[in-house]
Amino acid sequence: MQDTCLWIFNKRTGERLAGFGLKGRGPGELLFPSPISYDRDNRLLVVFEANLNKIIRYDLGKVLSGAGDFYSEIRLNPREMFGEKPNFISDARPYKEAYMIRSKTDQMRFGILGHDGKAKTMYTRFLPLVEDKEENWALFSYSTQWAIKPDQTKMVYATYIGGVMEIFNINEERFALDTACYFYEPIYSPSEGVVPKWLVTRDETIVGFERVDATDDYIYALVVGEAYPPDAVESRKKLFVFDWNGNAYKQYVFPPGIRPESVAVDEEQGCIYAIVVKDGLTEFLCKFSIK
Amino acid sequence: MYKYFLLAWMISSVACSERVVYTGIQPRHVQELGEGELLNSTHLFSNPTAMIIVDSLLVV
Repeated sequence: MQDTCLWIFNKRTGERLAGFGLKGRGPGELLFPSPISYDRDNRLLVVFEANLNKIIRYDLGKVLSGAGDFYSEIRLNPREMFGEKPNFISDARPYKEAYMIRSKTDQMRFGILGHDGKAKTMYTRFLPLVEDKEENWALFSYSTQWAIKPDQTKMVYATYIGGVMEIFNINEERFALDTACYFYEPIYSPSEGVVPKWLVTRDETIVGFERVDATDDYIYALVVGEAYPPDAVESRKKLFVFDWNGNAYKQYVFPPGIRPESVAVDEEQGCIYAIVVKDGLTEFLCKFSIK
Repeated sequence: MYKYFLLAWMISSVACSERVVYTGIQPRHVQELGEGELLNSTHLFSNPTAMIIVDSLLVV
């Protein structure tokens, strides 16, 4: 069972319907998948596999019907995109008829993958949070969370170390920073001997954004907001709701002893689906009403 | 002389005003969630990276 990376559940009953995306290096297989996203125009689930440089698109209807040809792949070649300079594409999400990609170097923070397989309209700017340039871009590369507004006019980026949230306008495939919100100061140490520089967290590091999700009205963010020992049993994560101007509109507080790991908000049905750790034990799929 | 002093003061004021102030997150509303409904307690999740809703489905 652990060889399968992705699972489909009935959201009303919680019944497990199918598993797909085997662990491996072969066609349709994954090693360490990026967060999943959904291409609504083509009704395909999209996952980027950074270690294998490929976008895998799964047809959920075919997965559920047991059809054999339920996936297709797009192979990326970072060398073709960026030349000989080392680069690493860390994620890809559907954007219009193409894909938005993000990278972990200062050559490209994010950009759009053209039909010719090359990156275009590359965005390279970073907010100057700390003086050292390499440490600054490492801050924006360390488990940074991002989401694209479903109408594809805006995008949110939020840091894991500390808590800085940026909202970008996307217009004619051009990016412009619209809002920057400075919530928690990034506290870290540079990793010793690593080139280019990389960071490690410290005991006093405030862990910021663990997940972000976007709807046309709101940004939903799972935030710790304090120093966070990894073995903490007590729930310290908060689910915040921001508008697209970066204003914190609401906070949902989970019951004591419940630690949310992943959440999905169903605005139409007025509920939150969450995989939670209960009393420090195993993970369960739960549903919380927000009406 | 006074002009230079004024200029230096203005520059330092601008530099100070551009220093980042970290505010924390101050939501307008806070809502306590109830106990919730257990949907599935038998599936063994393995480091779920995300969960999304697609029509009547949850993909994890």
